[in-house]
This record gives sequence, structure tokens and C-alpha cells, in this order.
Amino acid sequence: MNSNVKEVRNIPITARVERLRKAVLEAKPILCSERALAVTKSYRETEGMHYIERRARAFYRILDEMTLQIWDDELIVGTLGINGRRSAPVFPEFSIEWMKDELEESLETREQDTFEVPEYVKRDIRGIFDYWEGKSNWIKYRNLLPEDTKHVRDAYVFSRDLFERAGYGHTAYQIEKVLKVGLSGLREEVNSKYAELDLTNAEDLEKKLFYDGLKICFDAVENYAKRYSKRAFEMAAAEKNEQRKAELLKIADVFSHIPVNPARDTWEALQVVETMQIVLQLETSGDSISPGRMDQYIYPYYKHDIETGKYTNEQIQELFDCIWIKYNEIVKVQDYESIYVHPGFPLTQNVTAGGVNLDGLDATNELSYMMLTCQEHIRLQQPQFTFRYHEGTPGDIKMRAAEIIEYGTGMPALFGDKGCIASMKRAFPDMPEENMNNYAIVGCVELSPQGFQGRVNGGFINLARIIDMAMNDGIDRMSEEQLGPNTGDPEKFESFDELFDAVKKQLAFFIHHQVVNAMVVDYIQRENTPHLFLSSMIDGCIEKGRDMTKGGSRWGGTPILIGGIATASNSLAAVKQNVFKSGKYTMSEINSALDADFKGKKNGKIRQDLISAPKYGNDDDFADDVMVEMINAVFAEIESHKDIDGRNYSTFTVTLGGTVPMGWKTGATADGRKAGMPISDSFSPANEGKNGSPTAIFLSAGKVDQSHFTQGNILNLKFTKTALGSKDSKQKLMDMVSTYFNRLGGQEVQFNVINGETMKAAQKKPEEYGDLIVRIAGYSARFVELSEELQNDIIARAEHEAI
Amino acid sequence: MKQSESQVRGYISNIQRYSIHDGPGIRTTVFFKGCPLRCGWCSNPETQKLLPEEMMDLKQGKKVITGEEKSVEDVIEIVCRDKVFYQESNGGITLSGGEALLQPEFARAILDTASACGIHTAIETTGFAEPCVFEQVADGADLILFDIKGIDEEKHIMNTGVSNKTILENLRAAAEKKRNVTVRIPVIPCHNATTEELQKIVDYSVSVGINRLELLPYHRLGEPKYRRLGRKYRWEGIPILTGEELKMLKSSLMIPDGVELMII
Repeated sequence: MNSNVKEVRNIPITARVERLRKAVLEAKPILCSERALAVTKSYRETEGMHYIERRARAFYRILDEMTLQIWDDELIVGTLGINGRRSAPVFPEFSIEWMKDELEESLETREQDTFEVPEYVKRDIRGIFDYWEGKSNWIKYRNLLPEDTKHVRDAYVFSRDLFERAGYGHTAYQIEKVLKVGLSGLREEVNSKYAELDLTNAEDLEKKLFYDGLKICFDAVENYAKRYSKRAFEMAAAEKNEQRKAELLKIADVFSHIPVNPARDTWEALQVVETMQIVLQLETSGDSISPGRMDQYIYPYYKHDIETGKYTNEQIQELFDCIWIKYNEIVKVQDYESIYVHPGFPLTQNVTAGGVNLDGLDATNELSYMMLTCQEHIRLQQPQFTFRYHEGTPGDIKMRAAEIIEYGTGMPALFGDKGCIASMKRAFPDMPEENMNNYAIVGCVELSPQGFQGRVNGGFINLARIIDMAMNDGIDRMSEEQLGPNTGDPEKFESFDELFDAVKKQLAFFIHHQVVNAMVVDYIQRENTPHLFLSSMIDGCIEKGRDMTKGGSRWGGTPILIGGIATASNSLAAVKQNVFKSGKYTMSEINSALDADFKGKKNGKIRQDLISAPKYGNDDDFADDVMVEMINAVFAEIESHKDIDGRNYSTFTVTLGGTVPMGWKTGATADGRKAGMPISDSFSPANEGKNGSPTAIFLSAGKVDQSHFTQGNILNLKFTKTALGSKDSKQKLMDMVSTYFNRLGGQEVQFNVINGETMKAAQKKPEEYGDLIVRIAGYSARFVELSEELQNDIIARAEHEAI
Repeated sequence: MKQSESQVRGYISNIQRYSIHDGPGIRTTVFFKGCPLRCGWCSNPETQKLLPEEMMDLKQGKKVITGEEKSVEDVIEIVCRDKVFYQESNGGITLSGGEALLQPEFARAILDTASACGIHTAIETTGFAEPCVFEQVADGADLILFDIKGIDEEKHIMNTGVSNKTILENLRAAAEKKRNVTVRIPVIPCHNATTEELQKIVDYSVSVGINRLELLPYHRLGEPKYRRLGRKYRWEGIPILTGEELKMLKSSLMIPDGVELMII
């Protein structure tokens, strides 16, 4: 490869790509009703049929009825909604109730994630409310949820996050297989399994229903491709410009072949990826449909195209740029509650580059470089771009990655193979090494070895609030409600260990209810909205004849997402220091200071002492020991549970924008954080208190056995541009990251390289900063599309300027 | 670590981890307190006086003590924490300041202890000390980042408070002894930021046998510290050089073959 690096390292952007970028940058999110109408019509017609058949038929109808768009200049095509480049469909079968309130005004005016909603769309959506009354997954979930679980869930100590109101998504589906065998190959596989069925056996009858559903899905996508081919052909016939006419004819030709047949070249392969992005999201309503290791599975097509002279490197770069832009068109509409956790349209379609090949050797190739260049050319919030580092990653591509990071989009996020694979080994001791080597990142950080499809996430839980309840006998500080169990009058605790026992009891209580909540959500999904077409591309589902929502994947599990880790452990450390070690304050003095939100002179003094206590992220053994003790207790509690498929629960952390809404519900905490302020982000240090050097942060993070984060963790570091300026600085930054990955067991690092001043300027003049992308935690978003409070939180997160 | 050596104590202003501009690789820079020079542009005025002193803390809204007495052991404990990062990046420890030569026993003990731990050592120094003192410390460092601020003695006295005679002699001696020396030139407007002045520094350095030089652009990040210390900033209102100006200055200099000049 080395001889080719020069040719592919830095290919310039084309005028077409610049035009496409501008068009998507200027496009406002708009609501689309076509999918909602099609699915409603189908559900009306299929009343009484088996739910699998209903899903399959609905999918067919959606793909048969939705208008097909090919925008100017496009080579790679496909749209999720039809009335604009950033058009969002509606998924009433998952949830629609919230729209009754939000459709009329707030969707257009709310603080973030606003949509243009044309009058006809409002009319269309209003027209289907009656049909869906009592029928959506959301309502069924609410009706089935036990009252005691509902009580704590609705207090927002935890929630199942998106999956209460939407499908799962979150998958690195088998795109490589689809490219190689086409849908016709999948169909053949289904047919041969079908032939083996013994229908005197009830289990096989269930398989038959599943396979019947898949066949309808294959028909649906084949029909969709035919329609696209026809549409492109018609447009070509009407096109005056000869060059564009030729391009449209090419698009028609591409769709006459794929995705039914195996892809023949890079263009076709990329179009299959794009088409799958669209149809899978139209089917499942899930986000984070992740195309995985594009530099690996596209490579054979690329190599062939270059060797035969079919395309030049410049053409391949342009095609990659085109799909990079397409990822940015995909937006989804969420309710008012969800947007605070997932602000800024995080479709987190994760693409992965770099890392090792199946044999564990360096996998970097020309396309890895081209993908970095895509990020340089496009610099928007999607795709979610991951670069895998291992011990043998060439220095040159790390430097190229550092150059791209310097643009400040927070991407690529860097993942360390060593730490990530250690997690997979813990989770799946029997998994072949090559499956692990071939892992991709899904969504924000979810580690997905080949053949793994988990239950996405078991929802997030606010650890900061639970720790605080241990200090308050189960009473939620802000609502003053008894949410947790009575775990003892904190004043009577004679040692830190007694306080810690209370922590464990609170944890056990809330995690139990979280697991119940997740169970209900998963039950509703599998009984109502199987993800059929997606399942056909999940390793194991066709083989077992079982949908992914029923545990059809080869390997799986459910991770719980922990929020406020540093806030929680810093609170415990501050109490340990001030109450049990120095004896400076009593537990009740601390509690009354927290109750008063530190108001008053004495409480202000207490706050100063709490803030000065040792904090995680400073390589301070006192603080880090508390962190390790606490997080191990969390791991143990979570790992004691099994999910609906009988698979293990595990842990991961990526708080997304959830630091803000979780903070609203969290009273003052003993780390000195005031009531209502954001809780700490992911696995990063908290905003409160001293923040150590980046090396100290890495060392602190390295003290935790990260292999328990089987679905990954995030360490957000913010650097100003000056810290990355010279080649030498970049080299040192990359050396630091490599140390974290190769020596300290680190899994992930991401950088925000923006000056606080820039962000403040963007707050004042949002119109001038439309393309300012910031890293939130797990994904990147357009800064100006976030709420002011979240913007302020991002500015406050520790800024590291090398001196 | 020898018991006696580890207990040597000295005054430290700050220990900065992940320092990336003070020598090769990722480094921990130990800022000594106390400096015999009073450069008008100094960006670390809190390191000038040897003893701890009061400085306004803006967060707390009151004066707090800056600087503290530490033992070699205290310093090394912090320095050793980042050892994995030094190993991966070929980094190490740098003594800066302030002026480490003002506390020679303390400085030398830190260098020796770090070396014994397998850590690469560097000092960043004004070079202003009795030759035997300079020798005593320099001998313990793997790398010397030697600041040369100007050749014109009168100007040097006016702007830094001291003559440059000993400094230039120490540089010559270090070069003669074949020590690993990089000359660092702070490029200061209204002091030496002209082709003529800089060329003199280059020429002198090259003449004594130095072949690595670095230009450090003047910055004003230290200015607020003067206010917090209740002192006057002599370089107030003097604009910084732009990156372009610096590049032009650099390209105006005559650099012999085999000599490297970089902007840091």
C-alpha cells in the first residue's frame, strides 16, 4: 500500500461535492408524512393478520408508495423523507401520542431540533391520530409497566431511552455479505432453510412465519430498487445536460442490478450501503444503523476498479464524499423529552476505519486515508466517524488523523483495539478471535464484534442521583420524595463502609427496576414490531429462523448506560474526606448544605471544602480508589442480571446530551455541584473542582478495569487549537493517546478542538456558525442547533491548553 | 534514591504535566521559583522571587500563596507518574522556572534521581550562574535548553537586569564540553526582534559550536499575572508578532549548513 499513499493521501474536493455540501448545510429539517400515511393505510388493511405479516406488508407498502427523490448533482441517492434534503418521516406504530401536543407549535419553535412542518403535513398527521389511539408501542409499554417501576422510571432516575418510543436500530448489519451475495443470495439462504422445516414442530412453524415475512421484505426492497431505476431513467430522458443525463443513466443502471445482485464495483457498493441506510431506518425507526468498516469491505471493489482502470482515485474519493454527505441528510424527529438526551439529530451512523484485519495485522489501506479526507472535505456532524488504533497503526496515518481532528469536528473518535478487544473477550470468552478483530463501532461507542447484535442499550441511569439517595436515606433530594429504599439515617453511619453499603442497596433497587422496565420494552418490541428486514442481515437470525428482537443474533447482551460517574464518585470521595477521614463536618451538616443548595455563608464554606476534596481525573489515588470501588460495585450489580433473551447485562457509558436533563432532576451533590447543573459526562472528569493534566486524566481512567465496559466508554477531552498546531504537537498528542490505548487499557478518546471564544461567538451569531460541529459525547452535532444550556455545558467542560 | 538526596528541599512554583514545548516528547516541567533575571517581558513573573508569595486568585476572589517548598521526593513522585507517557513518546522531565541554577543542589538532586529512574532529563536555563554552579547542574542533564536573549550587553542589562557575559561564557563552555545544547531565542519586540539582533545571537551560537536553535515567539499570556501580583508589566501595550512576521524574520536570517533553526 505504501507506494499508493501519496496518491490517495490528500485528494482535493470537487466542485460537485462542494455544491452538495452547501445544499445539505442550507437545508432545514422538515417533517414528512408520507411514511406515516403508508404505514397507517397498511395497518388498517391488515387488521387481524399475524403481526409478523403485518410488519412485512407495511414495509412493502412504505417502499412501494414513498416518492423517490434524486437531488441535483447526486451520484449516490436515497432519501428518508421526501420533501427536502433533511426530511424526517414519522413512525406512528412506535409512538405518535407526543405529537398531539407538539405538532401544532413546539416542533417549529422549541429550543433545539426544530422542524419546518408544512400545513399539509400537519393535516396528514392529525388525520391518523384516531387510528393509532391505544395502538402504538409506547402506549402498550405504558400499560404493561408495573406501577412501582413506573414510579421510579417517571421520576427519571432511569429510562429506556429511545427504545420506549422507537425501534432498536444500533447495528453493524452484514453489509459485506449483502455486497457479496445480494438480496438474491439472502433469499436463497432463506429458501434452503425453509425447505428443511418440519411443520409438525411448533418451533418450526414460528420459523416459517419469520421466513415468510423475510420474503415479503426482499420483495419490498427489490421493488424499491426497480422503482429507483425507473425514476432515474425517466429523469435521464427529460435531462438536457448531457453529462447529467449520463449520470442519471448510470444511476438507473446501478439500481437495475443492486441490491438484488452482488455489487460489481465501488459505485454500486456505496449505493448499496446508502440504500440500506435508508430502508433499514424506514423499517425499524431505529437510529445508529452503522455501516461499519467501510475501508475493509469496499476495498476489494476499489482495488479491482483501480487495477482495471474503471475509476480513478479522484472518482473514488468523490463517490466516498458523496455518501459522506448523504449521511448528513438523514434526520429523525423526536419528542420534547428525548431531544434533551439526544439533541442535534444524532443518527450516529458509525463508520469505522483502520484497526487490524481478521488475522490481527494492520488493516490500514488507501480507503482509510480517503475516509479521513472525506471528513476533511465534508466536516459535518455525520457520519459518526471512528478510527481504530492498534499497536501497529502506521505513524503516518495517525498524523493524518490528527490533522483531521484539528478541524474540530470531534472526529474521528479514536478507539484502542487492545482495550476494546479485552472487553469483548470478557463478554464472549468463546468468540473466535477473528470476529473480535473485525469489530466495528455502532452508534456512539458500542463495540460490535462480528456476529454481535445486542439489545442496544438497557437505558441510561443517573448514578449521581442514586449515590445522593444513599446519603439521604432514599429520599430524592430535589423532589423530596422517597424514591429509593430506606437505607439508614446517614447521620448514624460510623464509617465510609456503612455509607457504601447504603450505596449498594440503592443501586440494587434502581437497577432491578431498570431491568424490569427494559424487559417490558423488549417484550413489546418483539410482540409488535419485529425488525424483519434488518434481521435478514444479522448474523444468526436466518440460521435460527428467529427475529433479532427475539434474540436471533449469534451473540448478544444488554448494556446499561451510566450517567454522572465522576459526579457520583467525587461526591463519595468528598464525603469520605470531609466526614470520615478529617471529621471536619458531620453527615447532617453536609446534608443540610446540600438541601440548601449551598446557600448561606456556612454552606458556602462547606461547598468550598467539598470542591477542594480529591477529584477523579487528577491521578489522585484517594479519589481514584473511591472511583474504582464504586464502579466495581456498579459493574457487579448490573452483571448479576440477564436480559429478555437470557443474555448478560453489562455496562457502558456515553451520556450524549443527557448530562443536562439528568442534571435538572438532580439536587446539589456532595462534590460541590449545585442543584440542577449538568452531571458529569460519560467517563470524563466532572466540571466541578480541579482538572488534572491530560496525562493525569488518562492515568485516572486507566485505573478502572475498562473491560467491564463491554459496550464501550467515552473520554471527552477538549483541547484548544494551539495545543495541536504544529506537527510536533500532533505527534505528542498521538503518542499520549497511544500510551492510553496500548499501556493503560483505554478504549476511546475523542477531542473537541475549538476555542471557548469560538463557541461563545457562535452563541451570539449563530447564523455565521452553521457548520461549527462540536463533540457532545458519543456523537457530533451542529453547535447552533443545541440548547443554550447544553452549549454552556460544553464550553464549561475542562479545556486543556498545553502550556 | 539516596536518603539524603531525596530529602533535599527547594522552592517550586508549579509542576506542569503534559508539557509539549520544553524538549522532546511528552514532558513534565518543574517550574523553579526564583530567578536572578528580571526580563521585562517575562511571562512567569510569579517565579521571579525565590520565596512563596501572595498572588490574587480570581476564582476565590482573594490572595493566596503561590509557590511552595518541596522535597526532591515530592517532585519525583509527581514526575514518575507520567513515566508510561515518557516511554511512549521519548519524553521526560524538564527543569524550568524561574531559574533552576539558583537552587543548584535541589536541581541536581532532582536530575540525578530522575535519571536513576530511567527518565530523560532536561533543563531550560538562562545560563546565568557562576561557571562552577552551571557546571554542577548541567552535568546532570541529558539536554540543555539554553536561552540566549541578546548579544548587546548594555541592552541586556537594561531589559533583563543582568549582564550577559557569564551567560555567553557558560554557553561556550557547555558547547566545548560537547554537551547536548539547544539554544532558545525568545523573540521579543522592542528588544531583539530584528534581523540584526537575532543574527548576532545565531552567529555567536554557531561560532561556539551550537547547531540547534529555536525561536520562541513572544506572547502576553503572563500579563494578567502582573496585576494579580500587584506589579508593573514593563512590556505593556507592546503588540505580539504575527506568525507571518515571525516566519519572515526567520527566513531573513543566514543559517549555515548543518545548523537547524526552528520556530517553536
